[in-house]
Amino acid sequence: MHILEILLYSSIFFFFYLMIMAVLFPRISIKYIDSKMIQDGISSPSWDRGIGASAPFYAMAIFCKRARKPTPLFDGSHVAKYARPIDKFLAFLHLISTTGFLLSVFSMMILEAFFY
Amino acid sequence: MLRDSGSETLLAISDFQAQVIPFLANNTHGLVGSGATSVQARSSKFVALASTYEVALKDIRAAHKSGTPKYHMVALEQKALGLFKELQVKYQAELQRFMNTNRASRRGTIWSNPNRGVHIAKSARHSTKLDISSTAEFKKIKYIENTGRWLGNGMILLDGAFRANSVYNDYRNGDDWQRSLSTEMASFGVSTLAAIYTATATTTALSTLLILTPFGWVVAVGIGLLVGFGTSLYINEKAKKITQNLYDRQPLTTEVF
Repeated sequence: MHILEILLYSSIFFFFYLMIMAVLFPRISIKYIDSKMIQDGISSPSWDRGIGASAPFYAMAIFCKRARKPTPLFDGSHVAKYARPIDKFLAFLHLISTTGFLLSVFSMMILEAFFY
Repeated sequence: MLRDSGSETLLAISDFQAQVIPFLANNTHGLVGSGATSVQARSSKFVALASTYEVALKDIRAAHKSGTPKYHMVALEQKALGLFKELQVKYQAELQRFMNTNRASRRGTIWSNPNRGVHIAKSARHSTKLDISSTAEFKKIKYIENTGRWLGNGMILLDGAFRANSVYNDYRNGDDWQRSLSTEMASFGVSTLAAIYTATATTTALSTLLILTPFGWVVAVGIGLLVGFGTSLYINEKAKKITQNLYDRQPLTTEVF
C-alpha cells in the first residue's frame, strides 16, 4: 500500500478517536478540575467559548511541569493538584489522539508537498 | 480575560475597536475576533452587574411605596450597597468612563454614591434617575457588546455562509446539489474541529517550550494560529474529496493525492 494512503487512513482513525476524546475529556475531567480551581480563585480561560479548545492546555498541565506556569493565556498551576487518576488516564488518551492526528496530518502534508 | 488584563487595557481595546470597525467589516481576522470576544466577556459582565444594581434599587422603591416594615427595608438596602461595592471594586474604570462618576456633583449620582441611590429610590417623585437602560452611555456599552459577539462567533458563520452559497450555486446550475451539500457539511465540521485542535495543541506545545522568555506565549499563539489556518485549508480539501468518494461509492483514496 502507498505510504500516503496509510497516513490518510491513520489520520481518519485518529480524527474519530480525537472526536470521542474531545467530548469525554472536557465533560468528565475539565468540568471537575474547573469546579475545584474556582474555589482557589482561578477561573477557566474565558477565550474558550464552549468548543473545548483549551483541552490540550489541561492535558499538558497534568503531565508536564513547565506547562503549569501561569501565562496570560492559561493558568495551570492548580490543575495537576486536583487531577484524579481518571483525569490522568483521559488526559493521556487525549494527548495520544492529538499527537497522532497532528503527526499523521503533518507528515502527509510534507510528503505530498515535497516528495510527490 | 477579566483576570488577564485590567480595566484600562480592555477600555483601550474597546476604543480601538470603535475606530477600526469599518476596517474589520472588510477584513475578518481570527485574532481580532478573539480579542473582541474578551471585551464582550468583560463588558457583558459589567452590564449584568449594573442591571442587578438597578433592579435592587427599584425593589427598594417598590418596597418603600408599599410601606414595607423597617427590618425588611434594611435588608434590601444592604443588598443594594453590597452590589454597589462589587461594582466599585471590579469595574472602577467602566463606572468612570460610561457613567461619568468623576464628573458627578458633590452630592453624587447613583453610580458614585450608593446612599444617594437608596435616597433617590425612596423619595424621588419618579424613577427616571434609576433607569440606566435608557442612558446614552449604556447604549454605548451595549454596542460594544454586540460587536464583540458578532466578531467572535461571526467567523464560523461566515464560513458556513460561503459554503451554503456554493451549494445554492450548484442547485441553480442544475448540478447534483445534494452531493455538494453533503460534502460541504462534512468538510465544514471536520476542518473546523481539526483547525481548532491543531491551533491549540501547537500553541500548548510551543508555549511549554518557549515559556522561559517573557513573551513566549505571544509567539506561540501566532504560530499556532498560522498552523491551524494552514491545516484547516489542507484538511478541508482532503475531507471534501473523501466525502465525494464516499458519496460516489468510489474507493476512498481515489484522486485524493
